[in-house]
Order: sequence, then C-alpha cells, then structure tokens
Amino acid sequence: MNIKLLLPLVTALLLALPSACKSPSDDIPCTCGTAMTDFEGCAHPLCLAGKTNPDNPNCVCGKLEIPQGKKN
Amino acid sequence: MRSTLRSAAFVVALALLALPAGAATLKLKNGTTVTGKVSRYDATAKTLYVTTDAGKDEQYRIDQLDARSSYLVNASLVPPDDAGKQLQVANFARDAGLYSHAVRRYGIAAKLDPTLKATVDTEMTKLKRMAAEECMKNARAAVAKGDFADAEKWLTVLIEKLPDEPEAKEAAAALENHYAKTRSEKMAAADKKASDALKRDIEKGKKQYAEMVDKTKKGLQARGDSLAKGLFNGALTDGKAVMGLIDDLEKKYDDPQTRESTASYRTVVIGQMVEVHLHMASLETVKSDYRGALKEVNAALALDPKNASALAARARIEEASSQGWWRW
Ligand SMILES: [Zn+2]
Ligand SMILES: [Zn+2]
Repeated sequence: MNIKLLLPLVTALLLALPSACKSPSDDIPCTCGTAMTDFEGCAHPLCLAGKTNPDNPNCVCGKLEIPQGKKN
Repeated sequence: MRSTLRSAAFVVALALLALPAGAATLKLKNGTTVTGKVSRYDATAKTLYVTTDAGKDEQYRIDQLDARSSYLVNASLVPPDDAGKQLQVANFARDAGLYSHAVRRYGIAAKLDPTLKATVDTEMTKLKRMAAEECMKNARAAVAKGDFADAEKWLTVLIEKLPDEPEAKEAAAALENHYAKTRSEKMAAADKKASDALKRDIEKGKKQYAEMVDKTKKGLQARGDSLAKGLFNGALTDGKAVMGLIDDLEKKYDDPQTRESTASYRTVVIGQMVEVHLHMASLETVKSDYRGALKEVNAALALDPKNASALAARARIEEASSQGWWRW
C-alpha cells in the first residue's frame, strides 16, 4: 500500500465526514437566544432532544456537567 | 513520511479531543462570556467553580450569571425525576422569560407527579399572564420600529398561544392595521415583473388572493375554533382557485419571461397558503391533536418543501407527540 496515496484519501474521508452525516433536519437552524424562541422553543434537533448545541453559546437546552464534589 | 503520517494522526486525535467534553459556556451579567469546565458547585455559597479554557480557575456566584446561565446551572442541578424540583426550575425559567423551557418543565413535573397538576395549572396561569404582557410589549416595540412583519409574529403568538389573555383581543384588532397591506405589497412586487397582458389575465386571481388574505386574517381574529377553521378552509379554497388560474396562464404563455412572472405570482400565493396551513396546525396543536397538526404541516411542506417555519413546526410537533410534552 502506497502511503502517498493513503494520506489524501484519509484527508478526503475526514473532510467528507461532517457533510455525509447531514440529515434533512440539520437544515433547521438553532435559534436559541432569540426573543421569539424563548416563546415558541427551538426546533433544532439537539435542542429538541434537550441537549446543548455547542455551536450556539446562547443555547441552554442541555445540562452542564457538574462533578459531584464535596457538598459543603 | 512516517512522521507526516504520525503528525496527521496527532492532528486528528487533537481535533477529536477538542470536541466538547463537558465544555460549558456561561454568560455573566456584566456581559462577559466564560467557556470552560465546571469542576464543582457549592450549594451553600451558591458558587460555581470553573476551569476556563485558558486554564484559569475561577468562581462565580449564581447571582453574577445572567438569567439564561443561572437557569442552565439550576436545571443542571435538579435530579431529572424530582417532580417538586422540576417545578421549581420551571418557575425559575418562567421568571427569567424562558417560557418554552418553563412550559416543558411544568409538563415534566406534572407527568412525574400527577398530584402537582393543580399547582402547575396555577403557575401556568401566571406564566400566561407574564408572557402575554411581554408579547404585547414586543409587538409595540416592533411597530414603533416600523417592522410590521415582526409585530405580526408577536400578535400571532398572542392569538394562537395565549387566546384567553385580554391582550389576544387587542392583538386580533391590531391585525387590521397592517395584515392586508403587507400582503398586497407582495402582490404589487410580483406585478412589477408582469407584462400588461399577463396583468389583465391575472386580475381575477388577484381579487381572489385578496379574499384569501381577508379570510386568513378573519380566521385569526375569530373567537372559536370551528369558525376559524371554516375561514381558513375558505382561504385555502381561494388559494387553490388562484393556483388553478396560474396553471392555465402558464399553458397560455410559454415564453420564459412570462413564465418567470407567473412563478412570482405563484410564490406569493403559496406563501399565503403555507401560512394558512400553519395556522390550522397551530389550532390542532393547542388541542394536542398532533396527528391533525402534522397533516396540516405536511400540506404546507407539499406546497413549499423548504419552508423554514413549516420544517421547524414539523420538528416541534413530532417531538411533542413522541414525548407527550405539553405544547402551548
Ligand atoms: Zn437551539
Ligand atoms: Zn438550544
């Protein structure tokens, strides 16, 4: 196997990954943080599933990971 | 070459590691945004300990966070199966103006403990009061800015989600001011592209479009579902008639320029028909008839498969029906 051939292949695969994972519902934008969404709720798949959308800093649909430390 | 491969693998591994594992974004009242990892929460001091992305250890009292972030912390601390605490977080969300989050959590609380139903109803009454006031405030602000499309959205929220609040009546009356005008402007824009011959031929269709718009507006203003439904259905019948006329005109004129003009008219009519279907979906959603609501949304998508409002509505309805959540 020629490594020279392998490298661009792997790169191409990695680059193709995000677009290949796209489902039709990915077309729904995350509108968390807008006044209207505070009323009607966000329709982005992650937000609807009660998860944080990492791409939107205004999203509060999920949970913070808070380690159970000592409670004082 | 071996080292190139190794460094490529290293970059990939780094990229994977960079995917958020417990990464948090917090906003402070002073406008700063903090990203990092929460290391612990001190319940007595109401303080969150965070290691920022820059590697600094910081601590923030809950009252230093903005409303959204303090809701996020509160929501993260409650056990998912504790009905009483879910209710408290719902109240917190409501008081922070996060109405849809609140409604969802009230639903969860009532589902976990049905004896809370009466308490939830009382809190929901308060929520509706607060939400109606805020909607009207937003509608007025939009009118003051001359943004009538935005104003109409707020008025529609009042009418559809908060029909029993006094502001809903006011909202229905306010539709008189701009509803028909914004739509006749859309038709006028399509007119600009049309030839005189086409304009003559479309005249009847334009009258019917105006009737469709009037019936949609009256449907929104109607008190009572069956009256509203009748008006919306009438609007759709008008819409279909106009679409039929446009079909005929496309057969009559096959030059590319006229085709482009008829397409503009079609877009305007489809826009209104999609709107009507979504209003009908909203009527069904309020009654928790998710199947009926989906039927309307699918009818809207059949007319305009990429319509953003319809796609969002479908996602919300599907989720609500699968989770048994409350919609409002
Ligand atoms: Zn979102
Ligand atoms: Zn979100």
